[in-house]
Amino acid sequence: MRKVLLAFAASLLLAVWCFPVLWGLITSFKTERDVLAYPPVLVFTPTLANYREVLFGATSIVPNLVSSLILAIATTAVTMLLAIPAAYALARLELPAKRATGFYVLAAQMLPPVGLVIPYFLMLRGLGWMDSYHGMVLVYVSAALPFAIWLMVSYFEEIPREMEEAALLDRAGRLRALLYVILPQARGGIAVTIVFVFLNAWNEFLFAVVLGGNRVRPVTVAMFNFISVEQTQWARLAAAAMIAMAPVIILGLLAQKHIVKGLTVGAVKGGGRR
Amino acid sequence: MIELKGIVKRHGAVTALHGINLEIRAGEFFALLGPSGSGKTTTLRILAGLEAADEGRVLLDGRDVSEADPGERNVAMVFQSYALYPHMSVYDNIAFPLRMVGAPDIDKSVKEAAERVHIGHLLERKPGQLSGGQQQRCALARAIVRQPRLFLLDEPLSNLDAKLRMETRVELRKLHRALGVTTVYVTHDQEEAMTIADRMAVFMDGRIEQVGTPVELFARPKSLEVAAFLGSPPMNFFPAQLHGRSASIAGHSIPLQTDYGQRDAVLGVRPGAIRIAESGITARVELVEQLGESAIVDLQAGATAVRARIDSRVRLREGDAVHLAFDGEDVHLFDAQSHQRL
Amino acid sequence: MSPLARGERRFALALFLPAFAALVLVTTFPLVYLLWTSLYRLDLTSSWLSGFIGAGNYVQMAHDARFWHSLQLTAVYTGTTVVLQVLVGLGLALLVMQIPRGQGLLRVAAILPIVLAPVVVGLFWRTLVLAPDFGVADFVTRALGAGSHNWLGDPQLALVSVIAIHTWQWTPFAFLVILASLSALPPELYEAARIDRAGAWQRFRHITLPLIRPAIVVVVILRVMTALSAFAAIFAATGGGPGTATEILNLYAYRMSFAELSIGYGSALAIVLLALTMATSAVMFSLRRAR
Repeated sequence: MRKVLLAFAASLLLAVWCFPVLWGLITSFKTERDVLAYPPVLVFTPTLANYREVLFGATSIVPNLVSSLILAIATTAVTMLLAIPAAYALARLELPAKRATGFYVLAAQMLPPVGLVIPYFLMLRGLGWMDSYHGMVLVYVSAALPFAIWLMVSYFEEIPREMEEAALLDRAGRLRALLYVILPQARGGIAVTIVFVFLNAWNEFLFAVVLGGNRVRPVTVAMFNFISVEQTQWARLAAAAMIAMAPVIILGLLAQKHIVKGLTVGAVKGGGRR
Repeated sequence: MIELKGIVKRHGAVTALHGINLEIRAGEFFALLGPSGSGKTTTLRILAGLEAADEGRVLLDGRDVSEADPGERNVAMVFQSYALYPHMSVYDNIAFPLRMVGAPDIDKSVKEAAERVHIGHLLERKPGQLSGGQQQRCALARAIVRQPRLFLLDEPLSNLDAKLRMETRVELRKLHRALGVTTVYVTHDQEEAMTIADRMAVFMDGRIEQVGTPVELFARPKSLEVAAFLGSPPMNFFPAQLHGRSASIAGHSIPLQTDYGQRDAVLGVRPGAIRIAESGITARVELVEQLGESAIVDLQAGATAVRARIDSRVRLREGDAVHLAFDGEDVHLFDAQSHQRL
Repeated sequence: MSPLARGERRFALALFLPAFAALVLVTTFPLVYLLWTSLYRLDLTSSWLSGFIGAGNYVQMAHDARFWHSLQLTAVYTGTTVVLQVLVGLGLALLVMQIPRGQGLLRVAAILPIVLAPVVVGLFWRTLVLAPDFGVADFVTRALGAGSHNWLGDPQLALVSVIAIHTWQWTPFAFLVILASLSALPPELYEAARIDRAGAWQRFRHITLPLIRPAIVVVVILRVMTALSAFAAIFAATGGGPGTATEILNLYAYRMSFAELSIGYGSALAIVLLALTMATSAVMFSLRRAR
């Protein structure tokens, strides 16, 4: 009896968390008329029209997907190139004012995005960089870099110190110790960090809606416009959302085991150090 | 030859080493022995160049290397954790120090080193696929492959089980004899140091208490602390009053070979030197541990706890009242205040 | 300093400086700029009125009922969502610990809301779940005889709805962190407690709770941070409305800057939000350290 209750509670839980996504998935195969049926119908003739429309129709989101992809990849690349060496220095090396520096990075991670988007709006406008990839990547990096540094620090700290000591004694020197001994061992951590940075960049909305435009309009903004312009095309919205969210869902499932760590890294570090 | 001159190391407010002076001769197997936190590992790391001394100099064969990078000192080290590179095969691990300097004939050297420590058949494996003993050998091979001038071992046996530890101890000695490379060996295990080292230094609280061969140190410990640290079970100590050529402990008088005058002292005697006798210090048997040939007996003599190693054929039971005796020549005397040997 | 340490320091700086320079450029510099613009009247619609007004924006804020309302909403929104997430997350984690199989599946399901873009979550709820007449919520209430509701149109209900949306998306996070911490507890502890005849409640109160408290503290800190900077889901679901019913400080700063184009005043609001965030995190971290 207890077991049955537990199983029931667990399935309810599962249902609540999966429901909006599953319902969205179902909706994406409905005609607009089926969407607005009352009571909601579960049995209907599925159609691929919505997918066809959002991919190849007049309101195609393909350019937006491309925008999202460019932004996410560029952000990830720039962020990782800066974050990996910095995190290694912070985690392992004798850095002047290490504590203060670490705190600075942590504080940067806590900035509310709305506090950044206002000055960026003025700055990018002044530079003529509104609605441009380079301008927006700059802004995206501001959110991603502190997070990536902290996450990588925690992965570097997991590697035993003897590793670089052994490498130094083996005459590798500091740079080759990092390249040949430390980085290969941090591969897992680097992969997870890449997933997180990519995921956050892909999901970014506030920066994109303010600083983007006709040229750079990632898919999150495109979906939002969908609903504000064409109020009732829910099925198309659902289809667009399914396509847009597929990459992050897949990434999330791949990185499943590391998600908790990735999400808690800031707080664990901030309080736990020394 | 290795010389450490006045090495001082501080970690913040704590002084880890208070001026270490040490000479290690070429080709010697030298042990740094001491309890944890005594500074032996720090000394080794300063030798390796992994840490810099705050004061003092390190000389290798007369050359001052105090400020040289670890890679410039031509020293090899086996870490307690082995520090094998987990992403590289055994072969690549051993080859790594050679590749870093672009040495010729890498393949031949790697295979030779691996054969020497009997892991020639494991070259393709990753460290994670090796047993503890095999990993240890791999670390050894990585250290010997580059024919270093100095070989540093940081508690290399502590992660092995008891049986393997004995075997490896013997092999390390053989390896040392075959290669003839000066070896510095850090351990907290006094038995290990005694059996393996040509000479050793006993560290206590960031200072070297005594340097000498194992036999010298065992026979003539310079201080009460060294005496207490060497030997298992450890030496017994009694508070004693010295009157000329005799010492009185617990109302009993023991004849001594030298005249020490009138003074308070601590009298030490090793468990093996204690006999059960007809008369002497009265004691009560607390516990008997049979070891086979001999037995370790825990006794209480007044306020002093005593351990004695006796012939296991002597039948003792807990609660027995016995008399303890020992000879004056087996006695170690230390000053009651300074703890230095008299 | 020894040459050894000097060499390491040089190497460390070479690795760290690029990122540090980037951080100064992309975070600190904009913030200083924000602070600067908050001292200006900067209206994009009426630029002839723009100019330096010192603390003028902050003085205006003190008399701005909409600001105080948004501050109040921020407190309510943050407080309720965090408490709900922790309570529900803890309850679910305890429940799931009882389930011998299928934990893996639940963990996977819990990932789903977390990885979704908040704007998509907001849109989904606005249309499929909360839309009057056609949404699932209405279907349920109507089937239960509770009638149809304007979930996002009624001021009271709208606030409840955005709180529900946030709680839905982020409870899995609390759940996962607490579950991970529960799974790490040694089972011997419970066996020992059982032998000591501790009841279920006593075991929870005296063993589980103290041991998972660090995890709960982490959850609280992070959830507060996320709630304070929540934007996209509310923006997509209600846009801050109806009226200002769901306009937390974050949305007020946004609307003031980009809908009403009073960037100077918007900047001042953002500075207040920033100060609030920093103060909250400082308080929470110091409380945590004091333990």
